[in-house]
Amino acid sequence: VTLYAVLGATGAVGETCARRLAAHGVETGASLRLGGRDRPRLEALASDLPGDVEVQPTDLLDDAALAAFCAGARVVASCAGPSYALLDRVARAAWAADADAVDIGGELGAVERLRSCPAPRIERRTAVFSAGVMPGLSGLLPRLLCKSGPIRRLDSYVGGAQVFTRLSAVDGLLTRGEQFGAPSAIAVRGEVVRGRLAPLHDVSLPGFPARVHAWPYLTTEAQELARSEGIDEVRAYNVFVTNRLPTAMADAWAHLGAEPQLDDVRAAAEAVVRAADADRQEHGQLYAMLFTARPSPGGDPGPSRLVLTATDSYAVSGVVMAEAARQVADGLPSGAWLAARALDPERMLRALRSDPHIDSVHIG
Amino acid sequence: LAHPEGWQLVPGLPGRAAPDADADGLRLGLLPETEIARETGPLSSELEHIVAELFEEQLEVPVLDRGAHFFELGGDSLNAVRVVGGIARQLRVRLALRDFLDAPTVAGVAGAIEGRRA
Repeated sequence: VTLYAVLGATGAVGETCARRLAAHGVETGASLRLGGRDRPRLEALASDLPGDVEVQPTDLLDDAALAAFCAGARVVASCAGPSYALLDRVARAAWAADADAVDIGGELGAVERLRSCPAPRIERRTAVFSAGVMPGLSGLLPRLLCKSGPIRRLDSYVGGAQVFTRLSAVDGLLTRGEQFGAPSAIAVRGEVVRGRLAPLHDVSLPGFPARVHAWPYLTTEAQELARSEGIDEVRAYNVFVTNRLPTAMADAWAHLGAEPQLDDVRAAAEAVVRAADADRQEHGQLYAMLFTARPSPGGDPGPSRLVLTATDSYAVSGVVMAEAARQVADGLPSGAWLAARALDPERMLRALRSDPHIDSVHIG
Repeated sequence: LAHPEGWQLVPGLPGRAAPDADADGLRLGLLPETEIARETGPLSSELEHIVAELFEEQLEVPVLDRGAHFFELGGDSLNAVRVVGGIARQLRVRLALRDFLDAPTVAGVAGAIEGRRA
């Protein structure tokens, strides 16, 4: 029997992931193990899910408990955080138990750590990191626009008005620097060119219901997309309904300095959480991902735009995690990968289109 | 909300801005009062991509929809003249400024260019 083991199952992402994998289990006979810190909440969730579901409270920082959680699993899906503290910890435990791993976080740092894994399991086990909306979908979906021919320019606009959980605000404040991205930069023929884009203020963008502010930030994911798909130019923006959040992040970074203490980051994250709350109260909760492709001259135009809209980005991440776990269970190349590179974008698109957490997906 | 494939409603597009009479005498405020048929959706041809980029060069905002309206995005008559000049240089099509002003969207201008070519 295929066993999916979901860590962080009662969190904002994990609950949706668990619900989708439970429904999948009813169709396929797969079973589900739920892990997290809080037994009563895990049991409450389990009692609400169909099929064969077991609960195993687990402290992620306890090696023996983590090993026991992974034992017998086909795929361990970690929706737990914080990413900066966990890195490839869960994936290593999964591989040690001869299971594959999918992780909501990790980014390049985890991929590189696991690739340097001295264990021989890299030859036969798979780990997929950053399988959320961003990074994750933000690098995977644009590949659907790159199929029909060479792309001269690709633009990415992702964001909206969302809950910033304390955990993700801390992760957000810690994910800056060259291993994550470059502000104001664009990718030109695989090279990062700095200082090329200014923020866009009060602009209308397809898929976003109100006027928005778009701050250019060329993630390493966007850089990798430019290289792997051979796109001449890539521009990437984070989108906000007001300038509160980018201002709060910038203030926090200025206050924290280069190597902040974690307690200071936690304190600074409060202002970020409040800014996100104020945005949501003013505009309502919304999330959109917009990708536009400009074909090379004379190339097959193909679809040039993809727009996804949703209400809750964490729930969409849960849908992505569940589909990633299914794809891994069905067989992906062994080794350590980023989701944007390793997953099948067509299959992901089908999963998104059939899920009620996604309001719309248009490709044209 | 189901739309025909390849089409998308863009609820965020603004109503027509109130333009001022321009210094060089072009009365952009005298566009027809009835809203021009706004064909919104992804850029759908190589020509529309070229027109969108000519718009972008003047406006310094991304032009991502075939219904994007030159003057609502901040363009003025001088910018419009420059776009018409860009069309002449890049596409070897001499577009009358009047053609541009009649339908100053990406799709409208691309349609006017095709009309001139025909």
